Amino acid sequence: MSPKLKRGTTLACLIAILGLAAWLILDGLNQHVVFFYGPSDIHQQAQPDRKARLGGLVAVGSVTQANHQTRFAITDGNTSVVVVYVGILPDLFGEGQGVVTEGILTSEGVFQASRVLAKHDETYMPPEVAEILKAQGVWRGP
Amino acid sequence: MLHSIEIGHFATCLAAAMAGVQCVGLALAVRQGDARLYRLGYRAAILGFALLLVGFAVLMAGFITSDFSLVLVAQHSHILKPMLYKISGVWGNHEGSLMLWVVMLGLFACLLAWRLAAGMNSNNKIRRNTLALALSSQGGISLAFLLLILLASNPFARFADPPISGAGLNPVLQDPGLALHPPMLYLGYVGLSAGFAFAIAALIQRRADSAWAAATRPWVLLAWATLTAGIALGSRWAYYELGWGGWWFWDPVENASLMPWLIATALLHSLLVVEKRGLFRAWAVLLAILGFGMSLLGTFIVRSGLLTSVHAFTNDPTRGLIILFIIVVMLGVPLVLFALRAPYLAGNASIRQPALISRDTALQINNLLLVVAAASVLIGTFYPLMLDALFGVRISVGPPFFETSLAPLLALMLLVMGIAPLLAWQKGRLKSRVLLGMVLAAVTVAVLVLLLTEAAPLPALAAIGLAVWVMAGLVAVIKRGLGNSGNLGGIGMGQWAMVVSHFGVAIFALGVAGTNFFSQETIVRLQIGESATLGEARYVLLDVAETEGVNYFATSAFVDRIVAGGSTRLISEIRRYPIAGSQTQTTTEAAIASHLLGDAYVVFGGGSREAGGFVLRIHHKPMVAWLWGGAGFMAGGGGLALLGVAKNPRRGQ
Repeated sequence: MSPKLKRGTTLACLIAILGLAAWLILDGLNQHVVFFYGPSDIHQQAQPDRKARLGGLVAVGSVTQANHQTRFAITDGNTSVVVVYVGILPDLFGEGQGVVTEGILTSEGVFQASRVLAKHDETYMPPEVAEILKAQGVWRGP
Repeated sequence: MLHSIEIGHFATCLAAAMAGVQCVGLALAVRQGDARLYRLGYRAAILGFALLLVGFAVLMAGFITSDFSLVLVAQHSHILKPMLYKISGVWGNHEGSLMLWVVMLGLFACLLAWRLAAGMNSNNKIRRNTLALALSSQGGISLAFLLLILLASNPFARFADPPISGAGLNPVLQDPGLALHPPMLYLGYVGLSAGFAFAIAALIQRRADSAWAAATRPWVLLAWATLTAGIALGSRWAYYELGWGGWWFWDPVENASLMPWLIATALLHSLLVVEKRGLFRAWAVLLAILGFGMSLLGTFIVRSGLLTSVHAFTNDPTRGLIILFIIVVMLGVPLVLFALRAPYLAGNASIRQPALISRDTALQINNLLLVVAAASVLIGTFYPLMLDALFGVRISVGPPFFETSLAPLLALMLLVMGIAPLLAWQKGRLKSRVLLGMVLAAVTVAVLVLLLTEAAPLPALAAIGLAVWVMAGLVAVIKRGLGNSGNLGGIGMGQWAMVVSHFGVAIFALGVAGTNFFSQETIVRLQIGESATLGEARYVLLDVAETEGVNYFATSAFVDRIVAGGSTRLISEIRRYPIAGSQTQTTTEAAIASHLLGDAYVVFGGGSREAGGFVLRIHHKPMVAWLWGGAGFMAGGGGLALLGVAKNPRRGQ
């Protein structure tokens, strides 16, 4: 192979790998990005059948359990959405606490959660949830 | 009388001054060639480390004696806490973890200073100046972080009116993992600062030749090996502590450790090429800058609370701004310097360019893949932050993104990894017989797995096949070494290091295939005496009882796991740690029976007789131990390579 051809081959390989990488990343982001909503905007924005995150406060008095299924409402102070979750809840889950869930909004308007995200300590509020509460004017944090 | 805490605070202030002396003194030393300035510089580095140790020891003493006049102790410790957690509690918070970070920086500076002191008598001026400039850069980094500590997150802050009791350490952090994982990880992060410092020295000297690579490589090896071990320890900890049965959650903090690891891996391999062949010089310098840049970006962006993460401590945003400023300066200046000086780093034209089939090219491809992998992790981690800042849209990027974008890259990497060690430098040749043997081994094992499991998904088979492919390649390397010399002693330490590390990667890949594709899980509700079946094992709930630990109360579920060969007792607990007043904080302790071929993982989910029974979540995690075992082999290989450098000081130093 002449040096010119060799350089050309190397360059072609480089472009191929970078192109593949760019495609993988962009396609991946396109398919797997999960949008975050509060109780007030999830009905307008969530595309059906697409995973979304729903965050807010667990409404006081809303948690009920039957079999393995837990039902509770996530509220931003003004609107609330009923969430159904099958599984063991994280240790710091509690009424009146901030929570982020991941799942799908069913056609009946119930949020079917596949994950309830745990927090690390009791004073930490996920920034997304703080934002939602601020937008609704019910934020009482620092 | 001067209180001991004030001594610690004062020592830390002096350490900052020493870092300044180290930074400026050594820069001047190189400029003026004055031996006294060199001595001043390295002595300042050693003294600075001693002072930092004093500061850290004082802080630790505060935690051990539960001195609640220290704000940090009052907020994060408690008299009733076991001693191990009093000690490791020092770094289980923002201020203390920053302090640990600078102590590690001081340690590396001290080691560099020792090398410089040893090199003072030699006539090799270039090498001496490389070390001096690296040590000077390290001084700059230390100074920046010490100022951050002293001005914006002082661990020595005290109460005028101390409380009687402390708030306690977050129970999740009360685990032996805290004693090991952060120091190991930080050693890795901070160790990359040595590579970074050598890169700056190279840019200033306009020289990144084989001698430079040989001088840099041991430091990067040390950092890489400890980073590997630190990440693995963290993963293992999360696995048993968080109770989800996962080993990697693609949490921003985990990604933050993965990015520097990927870059450091690329750097190690490209330093080899610089050392042996004199190629890839500018590239290696760039990687050294980016490697430490990634570790700064990761740790501190996350620590500043900008990203949602399980690792984020509750934090004050002004610190985030200061940290951001430090990162911009520390990455920006070297990158501008790189842009200006990179043309001067090129090797001489007499070096023969590599052929397409050669170890050089294989390592080039591997470097590219590693960097692309790091870039996709970077994008996935920071894309949500950017989108929020620019458009106010809140999104999250979860495991599916990382898995789908990284899996093909990793597969390609394994493919290249199988043959790279068999190729010669510059121009290699692949024996078709060896290649055929490797393909046969890979296909045979994959087919066997398919037959045994009946329904194995394609990605799992690919991962298993590729792991076997890599192992077969290593066998061929050893066989060739034996053929050349007739005994195993003919294979050098460096070669063994490569074999062990690559073997670790293959083991890790098998662990990923086993855990991610063959795990089973079920959630059951049982009354006492009832049992549930998962796979071939039966789980009997024997009893649920109230128990008591050193500083917690627990409800414990006693479960017997019965298989054909016998039974194992598993105890999963819901622990309640009393904190301030009548409040408690709850954690769940999973019960794990670990075997080479897989783990049984049981989590107690609470319940009562009246409510229909007690909830148990049961997982089978095949080959999960191979993940950490593989990482252990990788780190061990790094250790061997360091030994090799120490045994053969002509190459390194």
